[in-house]
Amino acid sequence: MSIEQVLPSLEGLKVILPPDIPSDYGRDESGAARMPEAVVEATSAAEVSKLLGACAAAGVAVTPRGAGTGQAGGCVPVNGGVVLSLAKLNGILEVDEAARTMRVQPGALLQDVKAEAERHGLRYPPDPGEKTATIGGNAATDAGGPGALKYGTTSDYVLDAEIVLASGEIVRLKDRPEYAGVIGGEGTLGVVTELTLRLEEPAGSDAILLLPFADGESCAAAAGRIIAEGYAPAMAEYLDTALVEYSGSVTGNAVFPVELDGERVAATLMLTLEGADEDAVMEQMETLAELAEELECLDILVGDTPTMKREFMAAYEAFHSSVEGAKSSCEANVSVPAQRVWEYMEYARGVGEELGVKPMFCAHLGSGGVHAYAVSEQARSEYAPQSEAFVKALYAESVRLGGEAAGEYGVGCTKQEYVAAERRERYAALKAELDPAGILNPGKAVR
Amino acid sequence: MGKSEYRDMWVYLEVNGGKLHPVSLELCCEARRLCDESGERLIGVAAGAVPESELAQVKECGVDGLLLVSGSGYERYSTEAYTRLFTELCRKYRPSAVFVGATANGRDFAPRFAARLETGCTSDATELIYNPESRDIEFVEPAAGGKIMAVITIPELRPQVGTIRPGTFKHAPTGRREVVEVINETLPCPAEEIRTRLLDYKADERDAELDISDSETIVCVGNGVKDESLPKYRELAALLGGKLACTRPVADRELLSNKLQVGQSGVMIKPKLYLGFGVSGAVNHVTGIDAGTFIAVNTDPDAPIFNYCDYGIVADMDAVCDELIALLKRGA
Amino acid sequence: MLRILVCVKQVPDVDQLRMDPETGNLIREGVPAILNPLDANALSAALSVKEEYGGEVTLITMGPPAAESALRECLAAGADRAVLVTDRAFGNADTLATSYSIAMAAQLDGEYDLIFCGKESLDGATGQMGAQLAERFGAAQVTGTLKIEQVDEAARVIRAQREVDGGVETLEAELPCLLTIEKKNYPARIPNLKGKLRAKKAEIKTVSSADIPGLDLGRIGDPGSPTKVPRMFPPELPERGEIIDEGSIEASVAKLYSLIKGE
Repeated sequence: MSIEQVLPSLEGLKVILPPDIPSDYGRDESGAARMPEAVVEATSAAEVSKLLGACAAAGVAVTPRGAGTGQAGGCVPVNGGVVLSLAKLNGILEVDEAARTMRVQPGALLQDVKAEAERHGLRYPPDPGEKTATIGGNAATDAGGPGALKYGTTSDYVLDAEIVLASGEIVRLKDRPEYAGVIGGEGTLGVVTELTLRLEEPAGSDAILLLPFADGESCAAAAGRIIAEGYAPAMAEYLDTALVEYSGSVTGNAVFPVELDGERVAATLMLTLEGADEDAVMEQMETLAELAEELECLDILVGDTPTMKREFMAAYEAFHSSVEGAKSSCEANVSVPAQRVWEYMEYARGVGEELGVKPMFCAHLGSGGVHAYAVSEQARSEYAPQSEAFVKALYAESVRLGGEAAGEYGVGCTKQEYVAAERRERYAALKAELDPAGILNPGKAVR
Repeated sequence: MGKSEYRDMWVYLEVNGGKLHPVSLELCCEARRLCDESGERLIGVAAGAVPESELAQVKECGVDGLLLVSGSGYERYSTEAYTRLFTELCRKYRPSAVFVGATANGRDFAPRFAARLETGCTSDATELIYNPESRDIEFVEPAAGGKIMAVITIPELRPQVGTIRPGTFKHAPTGRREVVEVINETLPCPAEEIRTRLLDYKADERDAELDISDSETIVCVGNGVKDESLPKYRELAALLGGKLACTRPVADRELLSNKLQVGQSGVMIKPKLYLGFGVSGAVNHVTGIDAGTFIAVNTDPDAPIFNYCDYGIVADMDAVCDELIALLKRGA
Repeated sequence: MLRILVCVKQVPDVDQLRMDPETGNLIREGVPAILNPLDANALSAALSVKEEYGGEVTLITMGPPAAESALRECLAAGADRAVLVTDRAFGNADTLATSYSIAMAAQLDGEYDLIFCGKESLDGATGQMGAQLAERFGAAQVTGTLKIEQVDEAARVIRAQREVDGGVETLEAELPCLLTIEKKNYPARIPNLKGKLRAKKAEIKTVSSADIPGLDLGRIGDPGSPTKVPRMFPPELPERGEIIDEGSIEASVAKLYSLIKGE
């Protein structure tokens, strides 16, 4: 069962062995870490097949990896074995403008996939925020992001995939629809070596609206009301003013409102409205203005120029980076039923108070994805006990409320204990069929 | 009046607190070269008191003459006094070109006196070419965010006014001329013309981290940098005894202060060692770098930065940074 | 009441400009025109003055008819009225001709106490416009304004902080005064929906060359522009440097390390 048994059969593959393995191959952005015994940089499905076949026979673990930008340790080889890097299998093979599809290899970066679609006058909507993630990693975690509310997650855009099974067999998803679970399977059910993605026509026009509220609960409730009224916002984000202020103190410009006509803003609802053209978007805004009275928002601010939209999105994306730049920080990313977001945030504030952790929130109100962040001036080691207890409490609460600790970043190795029992069972059946020897990304589980 | 009636190139000698601004010497050296080609004389122009030691430095740059103006109104900088001064001097002496360092004050008065004279003014040229046929100076400058180079000329009118960023040209004195003519002018500016009053001046608290212009080692991050990776580049800079800097897009992303922005619209640097990570190599960035050793790391083998570097590595910037940190720690 | 003028410009979104590798020309098609980003900061400063001391904020821009959208964007953010100086005769102007044209057009509506400009434009980036406009208006000027501390309309003075190399000056300047604004303390205003709707319907005054009495046609547009652009060329790339590739990142960085240490 050792790596040495496998090595002779890997001739022709690019294999990296200690001490030449770069340290990055042993970690991602979650903090989980373990170095693999070997790294294989694959450049074709045939190479992946050769590797998996050999490893299955020898019982050696294989952990597929993209850009290593994950937040849950999904690509960390917690049981050692081989890390299969797909970063160099990164071609964008074809865009069919008429059919609105793109064939792409898993190592292509999300930013390149998006840019290529735009070059053809189309768009690829899923966007978890991290543009330097690979599309393969997005498929493995079924990444969503704020736009998921209207546009769904990565799996909604996968029309077909070339999958290498643990046995080394290469299959196509469209021939085996029962293997759909591979998308979102975090590399535990098969290795995707090519994806056919569905692309969309871009919206003719869009605008980002900011609805500031004097109290957070009204803000959290407003999104549901707006969606129920038939608006289809591409994003509906809860922006906690505490987070806006903190991020603003780091970047020098809060951008989002903190105070309005002398009144303190508790939270802002950021909505993206889309339409065929400017007038169609304007019309939606005007009818929304009537609803706004009832919603009790303080104002409706409009960003509809490229500069303003860019500024909003940059400020929004700075939340995460400004938190990570703090001396000590923690984050819990979960999803809960959309109507229970406020309840979850109230719980987090309460438990945070007990533990001495002051959470700040950003939530996808439509889908129920909630990011709770906290920062501290304490040293990391001093802050860890309370912040870890805080994050654990939040994971457990998300499950209790009927949501998922996996949130939108996957389960990986850091959130396994929070996967619901029935989900485990359904997954176990597929796992037994596709990877009976359990060599694919062991130590991980999925939703 | 035809342009042949205008002769001599001028460099404004900016003096603050008895000290000559380095850009004045840089411009004297560059204009010396142009004058050698055009056969014109190079004149340094200063107003107010200038210490002899500073003038000696100017002479070393090969000026043919010094035009020293005295009179009230030059004790401190004012838009009005300097606009008036250069307008009157240009009308009287008719230089063919006036070069002004693009300091805060240089950029304040140069366009204004050019407007009063109804002549052309260019800014931020990175290269100056004398065209012997047209007898015009060609001001070459990056345009449209550095995507293209534009040649600007002032073909009909004189003087040709140009503001030039500090650090664009080298201070490489070619030596004193045998004869340096000194012209003394008295040209007071009436107090009632001055319409701004200095109430207070506060020197910036010198945040050494933010002062990259004289640093011998610069670790520069470009748009390829991930937000969360910044601390490791800071660490690398510290281990190398240097400072962290960035490109315009990174400053625009507000990841780092615009005081750390290297290039045309930022700070010009002259480090012994420059390491660029994830820097694409836009012209307006690289024209701001005059490095002893220039190292570039980028995943894109076609990135233009590799055309400016001495050594390059095509690889993930974070992986290279980590490895370099590890080696520096081990080697230390 | 303070009469405040804000000079703005519509520019191509430079970040989206690409060069045609065949011809070496810039591809302008499909590149959106935007309000010059630093002009939004100038407007923000002007609105701050209006909010504190009262006054009327007038916008002025010179450009093609489509530049109207930049004016509407500023109207939505709180400006009171707008003037669009548009005429083919104004085209191809450099900063000298532009400053003359704008000052002549602005003076049709009388004198202004305060004139605001962005620090520089995204496309031309000469940063000369403020000083040249101030000359045309015969105004005092504060370039690189960090913060406006006080406006005293009765005493006809403004007190402001100006960023200079290595420090900050506090200046008192007489009115009329032109200020170019640093971004830092005056973030762009986000318009509200009411403002947008008002701006959509607002009337914009257009001014052509024929509307300006005494305009010297020799001082506008291309004939009035002393600076010319005889040619453009793609930036020339020097020879590629030496690429270190020792087979692995470790080995390559080790080589790099020895080179650095050797220097």
